[in-house]
Amino acid sequence: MASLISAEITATCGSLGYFGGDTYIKDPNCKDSVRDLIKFLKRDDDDFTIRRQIGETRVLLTDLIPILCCSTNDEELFDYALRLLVNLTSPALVVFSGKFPQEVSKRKYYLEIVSHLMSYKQHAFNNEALWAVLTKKLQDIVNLDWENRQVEDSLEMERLLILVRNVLHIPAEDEKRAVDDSSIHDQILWVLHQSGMIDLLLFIAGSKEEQKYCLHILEIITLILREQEPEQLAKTGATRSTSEKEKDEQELLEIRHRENAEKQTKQTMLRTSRHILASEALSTLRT
Amino acid sequence: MKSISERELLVHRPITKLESINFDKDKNPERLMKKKKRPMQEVDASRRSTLGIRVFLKDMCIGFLSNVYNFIMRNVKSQLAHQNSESSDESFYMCAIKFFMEFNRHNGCEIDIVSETFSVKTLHYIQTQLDVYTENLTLDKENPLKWSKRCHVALRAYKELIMTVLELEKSKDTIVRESCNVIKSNMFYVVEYRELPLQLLQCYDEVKFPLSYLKDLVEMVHIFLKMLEHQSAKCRLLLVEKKKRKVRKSKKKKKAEVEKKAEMSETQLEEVWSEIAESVSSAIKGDDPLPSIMPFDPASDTSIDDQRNDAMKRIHHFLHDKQVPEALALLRASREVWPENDLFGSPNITPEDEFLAVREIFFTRIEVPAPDNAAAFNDDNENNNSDEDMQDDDEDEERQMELSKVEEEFKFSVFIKRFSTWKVVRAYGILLRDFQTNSSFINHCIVKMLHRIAWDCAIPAMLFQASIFRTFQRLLNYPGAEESTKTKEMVKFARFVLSKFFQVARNSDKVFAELLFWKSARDAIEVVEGYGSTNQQTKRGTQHVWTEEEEDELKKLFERYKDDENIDLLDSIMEHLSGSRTRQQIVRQLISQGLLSKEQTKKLRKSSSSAAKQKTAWSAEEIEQVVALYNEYKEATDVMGRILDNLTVKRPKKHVIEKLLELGTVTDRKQLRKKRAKKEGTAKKKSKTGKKSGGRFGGDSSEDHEDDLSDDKDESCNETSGESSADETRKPAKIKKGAKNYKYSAIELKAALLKAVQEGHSENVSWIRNELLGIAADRDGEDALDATPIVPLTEAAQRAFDNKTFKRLLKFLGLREPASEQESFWRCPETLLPAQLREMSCILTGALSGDLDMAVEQVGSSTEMENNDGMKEERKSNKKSSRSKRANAVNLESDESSVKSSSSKEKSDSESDLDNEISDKSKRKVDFKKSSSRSRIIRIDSDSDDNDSTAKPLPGTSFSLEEDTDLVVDLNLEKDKSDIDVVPEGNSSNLLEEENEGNPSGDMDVDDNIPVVRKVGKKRVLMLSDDDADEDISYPVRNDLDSLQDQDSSNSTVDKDVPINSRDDRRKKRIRMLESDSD
Repeated sequence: MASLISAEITATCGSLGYFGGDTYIKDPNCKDSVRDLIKFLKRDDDDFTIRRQIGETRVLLTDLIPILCCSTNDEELFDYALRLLVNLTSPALVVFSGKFPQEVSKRKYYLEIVSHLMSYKQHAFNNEALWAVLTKKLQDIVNLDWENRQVEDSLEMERLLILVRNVLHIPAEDEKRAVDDSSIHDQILWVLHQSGMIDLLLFIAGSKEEQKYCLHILEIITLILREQEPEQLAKTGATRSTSEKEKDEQELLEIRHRENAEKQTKQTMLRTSRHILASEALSTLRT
Repeated sequence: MKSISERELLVHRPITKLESINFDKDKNPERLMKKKKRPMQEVDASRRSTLGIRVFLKDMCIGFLSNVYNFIMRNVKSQLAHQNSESSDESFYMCAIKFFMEFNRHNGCEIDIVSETFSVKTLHYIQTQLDVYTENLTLDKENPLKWSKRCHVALRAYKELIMTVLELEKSKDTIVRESCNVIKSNMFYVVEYRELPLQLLQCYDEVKFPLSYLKDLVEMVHIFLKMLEHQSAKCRLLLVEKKKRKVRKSKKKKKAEVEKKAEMSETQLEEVWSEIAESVSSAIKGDDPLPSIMPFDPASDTSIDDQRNDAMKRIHHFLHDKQVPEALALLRASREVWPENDLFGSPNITPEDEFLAVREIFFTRIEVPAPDNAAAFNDDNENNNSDEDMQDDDEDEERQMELSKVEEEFKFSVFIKRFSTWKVVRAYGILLRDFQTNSSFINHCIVKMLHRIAWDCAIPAMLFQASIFRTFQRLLNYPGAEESTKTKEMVKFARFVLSKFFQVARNSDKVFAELLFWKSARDAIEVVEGYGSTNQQTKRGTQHVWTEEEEDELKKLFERYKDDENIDLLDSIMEHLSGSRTRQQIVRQLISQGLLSKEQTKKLRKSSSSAAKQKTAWSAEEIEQVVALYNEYKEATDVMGRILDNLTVKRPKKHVIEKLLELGTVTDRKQLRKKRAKKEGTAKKKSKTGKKSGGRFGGDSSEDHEDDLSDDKDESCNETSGESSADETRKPAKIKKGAKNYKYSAIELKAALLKAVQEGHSENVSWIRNELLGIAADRDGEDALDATPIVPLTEAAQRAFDNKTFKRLLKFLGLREPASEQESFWRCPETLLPAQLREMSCILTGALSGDLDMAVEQVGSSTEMENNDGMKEERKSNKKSSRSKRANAVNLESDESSVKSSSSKEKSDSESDLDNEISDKSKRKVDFKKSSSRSRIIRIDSDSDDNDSTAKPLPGTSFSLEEDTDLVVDLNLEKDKSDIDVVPEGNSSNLLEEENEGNPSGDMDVDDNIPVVRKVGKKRVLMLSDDDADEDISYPVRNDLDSLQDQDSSNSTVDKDVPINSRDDRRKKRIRMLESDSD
């Protein structure tokens, strides 16, 4: 069964088309294949075989993102691809309907899905061109008057916001990076910033017409600031302040002191009374 | 031996087999705790990003804060409140509050840009959310992680709010400081807010919460306590709200005092008056400057009319205390507030008249002494209000649990004592373990708190705990501990605790064992002072505890007497027991020892009551004597007192009353009550009131004998807030009732009948008809003595009694609705003759068969006759009530005004409206209505001693008072005017609702008139324990129905204070509801 599913999914993914360096060459069945994938996901079983399978094929990275980037003219295809993307990036906990699975096998699947998500975040969404396209799309919708805005437009806007949220929500990888290095989350933030998405989000937050999205916006904002310490952030100047420097030095000094003290106590503990006597004798001899 | 790497292998013990070489021998895997006991793992994601990222994020934050923060937060809040958004959205909201307020605090701290979330509303929101989360944490065992996370987020938001308040206090802007004060005083004033830190500390559990939560909590508590300490030190008097649980016992003492006061002889009064007369006249002339006194407290919850009465009493009291200037000032101020009817004299009163008015006030008798401070004021109000049951002399022993909010002076030391529980110490002990990695601030918080417990509360023994001592050991061995700023004070503290410990250890060797247990504050004191030391201090504790010897003794006595049928078991045990115990205590102990079962106790009660009856059997001479005495003294003011004094065999008052009722000498208890000073012609009244309670249950007498076994006896329901005006509204209501009883015409009757039949009550109508016929048959032979109760037997009939139209019909038929607290059924008055009853049943038959007109015409003439009777009756009752009114209402009121004040409810409403207007006019800007309806009132006392006693409006604190903030701030300190005795309105109806839940038929019967406001999650139900619940269980349905019926009837008439059946009321009082918030 699993092999059949696997074959089916691979076939569908294969009939999407291929990425030819700078443009995506679409297969004639491209649109239908994307729709098929959405349908497959809808009929996923309890073990989320299809979702895991699609994750395994890395179709999101190789095909879906390029399709999004290159099909700005094809509204319909863009819509389908976006829907699929939102579906694939939804948080693992949401996929498991809000509960962390207790069974061992389920938990394994859960972790598998999380790892897929992480790889999406790291490789697929760390892409400035993609965010530029998405920002453009969002901007177009925001610029529409309420008169001209169709139901599909609001839906698409909501999808875009949810996609941003999903991407930001993906947990950080267990990366052992140094303090001042930029993590993947930071990299995503940077790309978002570069593409102008963050400014647009702030604009939506402040506009009266888009009040119904305020919960989404607030969620995105809190997710953006997930790793930040407000105090630290507030005190970030263009340069490191002298007081900060002093503080760090103070901390370092304290640690050094402690280390010395610890070393000393260790030595005294190791030395037996005989040694002490000997050393004392030596010191007296020297004097 | 060679190792694998061709090197020599060192072996310390001989090896016999090659397999026994084990390189993992020294490795001991760390033993993991069971999963359920493992502390929560830390998930801390925060890290420092690259400078570039941080810079742009900072820009983003600044932009967000200054442009959209307030806007989006308001939107989100309203979405959270209105639509059922996902519950996780709340945590995003709180996260945002926390982040941006902290960011703002470190970035210039501008209040304007976070004003949306810097308010009491936010405080309240977070507090309620925290409550919900902690509750869910205990209820929802499935995923504690979810709730603990949310708890943490909420806590951090709360902490941030406090931190911001702390920061903004330093601000130079007075408006900002003012708004800080509002939030702060709220935090300290309202019980729920004030208790929050303690509550959170109590429910900390390291399995459920991560350590970072504890850190935040400890910091929050530290700041909170610091602010509270500061506040209470700064202000002389910090008033706080307190939920009080009162146990009211016998009122005898109070009554005695009152009597004394009232019976101050005329001559004494004259003497006092002559003493103060001169100062009065000089004060009126204006020789001395008058102090300004506020007669009216807009923030108080007592109604305006009651406050007027109170003002009068205070004047009276001032006069008696010879504080003439105060009295005069109050009189003049009251005149301004209540100008209507010239109650306190007309506005342009001549000095002579004023003098006379003062004199009149002085000589009027006011039973209740006026209070001189807020607390006493409150107490007396209650006293005054419960006049009604004070008259009920048979309630000698009354105990009542009452939950109410009162204000009390706040003492920080008392508050901090509450933190000295083992749970708190334990939580701090957990955090103390990580003293090396903790920040110095957290270490400071820990030491400060432990220091408070050990030093301020003087219970160092609370810290005599092995785990804490182990930490101390590590601390003292820690190199450089004394030099490091982090641990300096901690070392000092550890030395202090240890020195205390060794001091104690010198005297008591058990203290080492105590190390192993967490101790409560009392235990800790005992550890130091010696065991049993606290027991001696509190007698209460020992009173209820049975020692082993006593238990043995009881057992022996029980064995000795249990088979003896002739004597009462409990009595004989009581006699022979060495310690003094009440019957109830003995019964309880017997049950807990397993000597008696519950059923047996019931039997015991019955037998004992019958025994008591025997014991109190009256001899013929005694009966004669009682009757003679009654006839002699029945005109006296205090009938019962005189009789009791002159009896040869002393008996309890209630027994005498029972006997008199039994003999038929007296028909109503009211006749035996004390009469008021001005009451005259009581004899006339007697003959009328006598009719009313003819149908008292005979069962009462046996019940009363059980008094000592059952805690609470019949009480009138008039204890709660609504009762304040009981005195005034009761009487007019009776007039109305009398009028309604008889004022009906044929047309009205017809209409009512038609309506009833249309609404499908035909079955019940026919049932009523049969009842009436039955009564008529009964009365045929002899004259009716009593009103005959009409007892509904079927459920349909019962329901019909709750129906408005049906009740109307009954009234038109001339039946009387349950009048006093002793009656629960409709009655057929004794005045109705059998012939009339027959006619009525004729009409009913007619109505049922359809030809109503004929039937009505037939009997039209006779109804007219009845009408006349009714008018007479009405006039009589009018006279009676006005007389009693004169006695009850505050003196000095002219007849006209008393009539006015006690007229119908609408009238008093309009009056209070008038008062409102006046109060507005006199520039009291605090909204009276608002303040009286809200239970939460803040009182910040100011340092200044300004005597300006008008309430000031708060200078534009835009942050917290904008948009209908539900708090009214009363900035000035006025000691003797505040009494906050809040029982939220609609509470009683809630109670009723609650009770009906268990009763399906009751559910159906709930009338639309009963306002039912349900707010899940904002209400707490508090069950008071009851020991004698089994007493009532045998007939709960009956009671519920009765109470419903009563409630309905009270709703349908103007009279709101018709007492509900006393027993039902007792049941209701067991369930008390507190609404944690009033909006």
